Amino acid sequence: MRVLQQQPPWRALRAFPNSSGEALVHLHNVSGGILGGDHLRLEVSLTPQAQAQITSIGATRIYRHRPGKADANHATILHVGSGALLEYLPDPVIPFAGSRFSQSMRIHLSQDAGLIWWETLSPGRAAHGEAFGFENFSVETLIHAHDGPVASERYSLSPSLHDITSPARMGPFQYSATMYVCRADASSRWLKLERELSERARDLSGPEARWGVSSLIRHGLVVRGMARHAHQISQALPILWQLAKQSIWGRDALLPRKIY
Amino acid sequence: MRKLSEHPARVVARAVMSHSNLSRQLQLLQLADSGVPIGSLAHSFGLETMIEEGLITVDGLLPYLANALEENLLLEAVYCRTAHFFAGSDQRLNELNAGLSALRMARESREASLSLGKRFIHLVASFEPALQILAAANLGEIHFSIAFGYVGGVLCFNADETVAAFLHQNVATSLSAAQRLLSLGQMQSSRMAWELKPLIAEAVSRSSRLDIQTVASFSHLPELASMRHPCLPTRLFIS
Repeated sequence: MRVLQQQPPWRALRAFPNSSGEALVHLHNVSGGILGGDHLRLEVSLTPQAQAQITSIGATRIYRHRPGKADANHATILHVGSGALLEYLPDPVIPFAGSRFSQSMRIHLSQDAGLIWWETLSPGRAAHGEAFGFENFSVETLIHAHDGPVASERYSLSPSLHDITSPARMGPFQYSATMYVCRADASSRWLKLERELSERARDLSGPEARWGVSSLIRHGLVVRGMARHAHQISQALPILWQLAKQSIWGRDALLPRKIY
Repeated sequence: MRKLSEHPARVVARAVMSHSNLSRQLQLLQLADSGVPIGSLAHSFGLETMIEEGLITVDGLLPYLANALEENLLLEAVYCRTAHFFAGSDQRLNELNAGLSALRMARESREASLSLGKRFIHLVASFEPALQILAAANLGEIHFSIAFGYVGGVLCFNADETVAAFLHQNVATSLSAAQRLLSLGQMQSSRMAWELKPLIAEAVSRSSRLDIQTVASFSHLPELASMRHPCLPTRLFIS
């Protein structure tokens, strides 16, 4: 791993090889979270054939907005080189009550590049009794391959303005997780893999948590999970990750070494 | 009295224009009908899953549709309006389609939208064989909202009215699906459709202040429902 530039609050230490030969990198936010007025930018490039797993060391806490400060934002740009595989597995995002935050994610996949990326949105500090107390949470995502867009999402949640518990949004669920599994090659594996993962997703679903899988327009599929409790996401997501990675890359998905 | 003194040719011209406008409005009404033969009644866009899983009841249907008009239907409205603006420039439609396909993550709903779009543009091309419509009909794929907006633009329908007709068609189709899935009577369904009219108008207005770079939509649960639809043990709808 080569760190070209880093400034507080980001801190990336050296990469550790895991047993699959992938470089495991922990991203630290030494301030403990994202403060009002923060403008964070993360740019990662994987060289051709590189294999990397990037994770955080804990949940991303979005702190209460500070009067007079701009809304916090976090821009991430990921370039995955030809034949490389990037697993970007951050911990859940927890927008605290009163926070204002926007996130933009741009991912570019070169020929035969692979990506596994998940993100989990929490309602806030659940143990504190907070649920959707943030002022605004906006997300803009674009995954683009060498031959066109793969997936895109743009949303803005303002719970005080719109009923977030509507079935048109979150319904009775508190947590929402999305995992993208992509490989920009010419394979036609996705419908078959969608069926396989859907069967497992159905087994993992119940009144408290629902999982679904769908092929994207090209080069990948998306897994979506919604649950009432955080552990229902954190337990099921790695199972679907494992299945997908084994099916596409023929090797095990190894959870990053840290305490869950 | 003033009309009587008007030049006869002007009276005739206004009458022709009035008939023409009325004719246009009737055409738009026909396209806005949920019974337009493109297969829309065979799709629920995930509504079947949500009802089957108890997430939407009769009481929750109206608020659900009202909120959908602020999220995924608003997104579609913006694409419909943009396609209206692109009328006559079918080359731009490919880019628009690719963008909407990337946003529609649930495969079944995405394919349903493309299927309806293709049937819609072919249907219109069969009785309005304008070159621009024929060109759009020859595209590999076209989403329903984009096809609807594009046709509205080519046929010189007003943009707001086109978007309103598109949303009206969507809401009517959802209500029709709900009638087959819930204990929802025709009277109740008609009342809901009536009550949603101001919200459709609001969505039309909002769509005019947005574009495809700024419109946002959070529809995680409906998307999830659509992803889960193929796994339902029995299904009335294709999507």
